[in-house]
Amino acid sequence: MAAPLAAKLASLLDRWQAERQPRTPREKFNQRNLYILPTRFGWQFLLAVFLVWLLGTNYENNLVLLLSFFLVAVFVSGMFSTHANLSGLSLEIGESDPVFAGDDIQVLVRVRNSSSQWRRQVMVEYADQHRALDVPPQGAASVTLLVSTSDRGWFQLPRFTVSGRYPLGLLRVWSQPLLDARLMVWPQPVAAEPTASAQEIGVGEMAAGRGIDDFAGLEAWRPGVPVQRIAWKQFSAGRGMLEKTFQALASSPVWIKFQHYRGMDTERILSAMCARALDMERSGFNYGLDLGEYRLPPSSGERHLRQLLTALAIYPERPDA
Amino acid sequence: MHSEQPSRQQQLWLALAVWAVCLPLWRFLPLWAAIVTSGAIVARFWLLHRGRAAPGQGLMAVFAALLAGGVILQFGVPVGVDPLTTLLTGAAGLKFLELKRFRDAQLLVLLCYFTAGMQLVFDQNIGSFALTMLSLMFVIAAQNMLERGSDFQYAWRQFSWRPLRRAFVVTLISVPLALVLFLVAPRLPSITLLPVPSEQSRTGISDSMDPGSISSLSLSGDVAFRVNFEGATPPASELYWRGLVMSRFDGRTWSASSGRMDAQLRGSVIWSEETPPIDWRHEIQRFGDPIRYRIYMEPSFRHWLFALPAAQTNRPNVGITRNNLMVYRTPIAQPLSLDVETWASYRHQAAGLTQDLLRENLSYPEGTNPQTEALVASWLAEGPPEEVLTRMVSLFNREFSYTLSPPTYPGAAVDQFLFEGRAGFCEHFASAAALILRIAGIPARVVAGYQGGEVHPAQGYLMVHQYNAHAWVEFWLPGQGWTKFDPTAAVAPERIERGFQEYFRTSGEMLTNPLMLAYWRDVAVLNWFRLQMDAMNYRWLNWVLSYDSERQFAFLQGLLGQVSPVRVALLLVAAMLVPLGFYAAFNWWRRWRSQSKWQRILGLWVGMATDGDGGKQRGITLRQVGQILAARRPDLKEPIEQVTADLEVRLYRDGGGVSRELAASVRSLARAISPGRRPRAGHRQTH
Repeated sequence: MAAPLAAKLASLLDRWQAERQPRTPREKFNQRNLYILPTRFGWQFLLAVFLVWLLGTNYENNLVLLLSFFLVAVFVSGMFSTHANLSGLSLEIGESDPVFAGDDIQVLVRVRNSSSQWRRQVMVEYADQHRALDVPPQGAASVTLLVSTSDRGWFQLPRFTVSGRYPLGLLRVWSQPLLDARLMVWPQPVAAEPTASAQEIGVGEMAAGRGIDDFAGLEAWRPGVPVQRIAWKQFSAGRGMLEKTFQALASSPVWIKFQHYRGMDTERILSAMCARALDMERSGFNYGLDLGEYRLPPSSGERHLRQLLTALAIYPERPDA
Repeated sequence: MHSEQPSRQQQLWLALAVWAVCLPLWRFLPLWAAIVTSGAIVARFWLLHRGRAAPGQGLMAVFAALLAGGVILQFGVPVGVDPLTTLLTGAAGLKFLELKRFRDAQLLVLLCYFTAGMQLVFDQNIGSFALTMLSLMFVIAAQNMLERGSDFQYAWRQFSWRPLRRAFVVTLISVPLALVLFLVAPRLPSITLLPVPSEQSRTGISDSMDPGSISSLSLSGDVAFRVNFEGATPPASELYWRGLVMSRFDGRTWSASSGRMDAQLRGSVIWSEETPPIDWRHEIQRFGDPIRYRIYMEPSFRHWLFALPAAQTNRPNVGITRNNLMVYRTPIAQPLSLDVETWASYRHQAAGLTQDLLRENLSYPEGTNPQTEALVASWLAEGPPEEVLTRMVSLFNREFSYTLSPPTYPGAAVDQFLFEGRAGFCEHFASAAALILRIAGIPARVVAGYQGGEVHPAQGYLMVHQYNAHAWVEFWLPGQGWTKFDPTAAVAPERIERGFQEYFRTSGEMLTNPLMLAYWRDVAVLNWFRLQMDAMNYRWLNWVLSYDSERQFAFLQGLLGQVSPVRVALLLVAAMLVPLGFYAAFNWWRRWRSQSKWQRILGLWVGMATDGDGGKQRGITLRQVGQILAARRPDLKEPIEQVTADLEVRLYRDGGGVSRELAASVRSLARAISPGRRPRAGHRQTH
């Protein structure tokens, strides 16, 4: 009896919140989307104020009564100052590297303060992660959250919590923004043999084994590059983080086609295509993508791979659409 | 979230808070209370310095037991304000010593708030209240510090006063609402859960009088009570503030009664709110118009109130004794005010005295002062008892002197005074006169209280000081009732007419404590200061300390026209909005100032490229300005480009506003690029 009611209430609350605070690319805190309630300490404080009031009443002591009223006023003014500490801040999600579905994505939350006061101890919370930020006037501070992913495509960042108890810890003001993050989640790579015949797929590709890679040179390291590609020798020599790049030997391009995987469900196909593309890239082939309506001409390299994986991620939409 | 230990700076602020709230209390508590709390705090920092852990639970239990034991040793049963406060301050110290988690720190903050409340139970002076507010500020600062995050780990020497500044702002915003709550919040009648604070080392009249007990009071310039008369202040010679009637005499000491005061009060007092089984209020007859006044008692830690004769009041918890005195139900530990009516012309118990009263007011231990008895016997042989009074007065007038420092009379006090020393203060004269009257068969008793008072020259109210303490005699005659007789007035009439100060100023005997402001009343500036201070305390008493439900109603009616919940609620809302309005105005001003600073900086920067034209030449962009300046000083190209980029971000993203760093780099570049110009040129040229 109680459980369905609670569930109903929770879903009602969720719906109310969804209406009140829909998904938005940039959230600015105001009276509409900030909530405030006393903390545990706040309740304890009120209990202490009550005891002081009793003390004053007991002795008909006006000054002790005045002290209790003063503490009430501190609590009330705390309501405003705690709210003001978060009000007016704006939130946005920064750029970060795509991940494969099932991996944790790094979400860079940037808190921007356009006012002329410091905003102190702004707590960004998600699951069991929390970080407090001091945001300077006319400035910004950011924090990276690790959020687990499950589905490919544009990442649907769940609601997280931004809260604050500054300056006195008596009240907690919070908001649960739903932000539109332009973050990409690629399909989870799961190797699977194509169902099409070898003939259909093309001989060149089948013949190509793991060729010997040709070392091509060093490039500046970027986040997301596999560890094995980091030029550790140069790093230890103090030249910084560099990435080893390789040139593929194979000459005949390989096509990764959706049609090759008939009879499987779409997600598995995309996962298999993803695994295949990674394999091709690692092996140094030129490879292209054919999703039926969208084709990516054969090439190789980091940029090409990303383009390809993104196309897989947003299927059936097309990147050029 | 807050499981970690408070940081060093947080602990430092907590220690400051504990100290701040305990410090004003220590003057009322035994010395070891201060040592326990301070010792615990010092020990904590020593352990921290040494990198050692706080004492474990076992050791803390031992400390707590020691504290409780100390309180019991000091106070006996630990019920009462003093033992409670000692426990409270000690507990704050020990809590600090074992501080582990964040939650402990928060608890300590709450403990500090309550301890600050205890300060106000002990003392309600305006100065003490200011001290309490100051200590509260430290508690708020500590509370704020706790919210600054535990990673806010300054090194010791990077101490910052910022939390205190924050606390000041919090206080400033909260005060208006607190005041309005004070004005409108309903007052509940006292519930007396806790006993009153015990007697402090204060001076005041006690319930017995030996030779010398009142003259010792004459050294104190403390105010005993203040009086505000509704009409004109009566002349000093009529101001006999009765406090106690002493009917028992053991040959040396006069006392009010045997036994404890509370036992005495039971059954012998008519409380204003009760209808008594035996009413003796009809024993007093009043003639003419009443004198109305409001009296403001300072804490005396006694039951009795001081008033002119034939007093009556409506105030609850005030009773009238059969001796025509007013008493308060509990010892007066807080400043107290009451409205009193008295009559200059009255008769008390004129119809006759009961046997009990007759016996009580005629008895004296025979043989203790034989010479006096012999003297009175000789007077009685020469004439009727009524003449004893005039003989006594002429005796006093002829051979006696009135002095603040009489010789000591260690034996039969009255005999020694009358026949050897012949010099004394009011209690010696009163004691001798009452005894002489009793020996002559006239019922007589000693009345202790205050006489006269100092009229505040600016405010017009009357200050009655401890040195106004006085003793006189009341005797009873059939048909007339009790009549006041002041032997001091016979010896030194100027003492009564011109007041104690004036009298002893001329005689050279004065207050001897140079630490008291009253000592310096001949120095005009200091006297002015003393009177100003007293006027402030009086206003404090009048407006703050004695603001009760009756005055609350009158005040609100005056303010709101009609006391209705809606109007009171509106007043409360206004009280919240006013500081918020100020706060908003302050923020708006800051934004405006930051904008105008932005305009100045922008004007300075653009002005260099346009030769002082400032921003008037609107056609130019920031980028062009950067190019012009870089062309002029190619060596500074990089910083100029940097500043240009920063200014662009400010202008296009934030719509203005400038950080301190950016302003500084613009100014320094301006100095470098055009050294002849003052860096503040371009000031307010743009808008």
